[in-house]
Amino acid sequence: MTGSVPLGNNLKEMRARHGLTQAELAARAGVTRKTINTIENRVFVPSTLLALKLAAVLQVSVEAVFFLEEK
Amino acid sequence: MYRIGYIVSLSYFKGCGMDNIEQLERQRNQVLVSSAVSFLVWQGATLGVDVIEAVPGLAPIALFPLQLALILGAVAWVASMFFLLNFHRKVKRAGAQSVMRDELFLRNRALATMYGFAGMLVAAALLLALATFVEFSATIAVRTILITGVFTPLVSLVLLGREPVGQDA
Repeated sequence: MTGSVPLGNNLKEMRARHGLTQAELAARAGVTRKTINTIENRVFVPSTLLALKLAAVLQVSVEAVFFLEEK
Repeated sequence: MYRIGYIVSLSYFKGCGMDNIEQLERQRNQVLVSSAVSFLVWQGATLGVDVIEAVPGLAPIALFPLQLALILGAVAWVASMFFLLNFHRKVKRAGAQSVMRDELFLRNRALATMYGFAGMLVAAALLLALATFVEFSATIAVRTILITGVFTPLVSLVLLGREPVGQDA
């Protein structure tokens, strides 16, 4: 649940910068490709653990990938 | 170090990884749909037989197709349980238990369970309202609630698993 402040993300851009496909990123984070797709399309808000894992795979801080969207 | 990890994970992924996971996900959906449909046919036909036997005015000629559907549904249900066992074996063999039960799946499963529970409450409320006008046995009521409670979460889980947009390379 994002409440009234939705969680934005740069996952697609970050992934492209690393030259990874959704499937490759999913394999490295230990989730399904569908999970990556739903996060990128802001359908699914990941847990803190998964957000940290994704940031670690992309070698950036979690704030570089996920951010609170302004109203 | 990062480079080595990247190559190792990619080789795993190209060999038996993600294609296999996608295949397993498709198989899971097929098992869920076949279980839901066969259970609906089996128990729905049983419910139909119960209703026909309980209401004297209803044509008994409808009993034969219902009994046939009941048998076919029951056989299909047993078959889908075998598919389910086989699917679990495949997931275990692929070592994909944790990926197949990732947090998106767990969230969808929790939502599907909630929908099933809500469906059962709605079915119970409707049956309660219907009971003020028509008399029916507890078996009919329980079977209706059971069908709702099994069919709704199975179908919900498949529908919740649909992707918002297609795969992005």
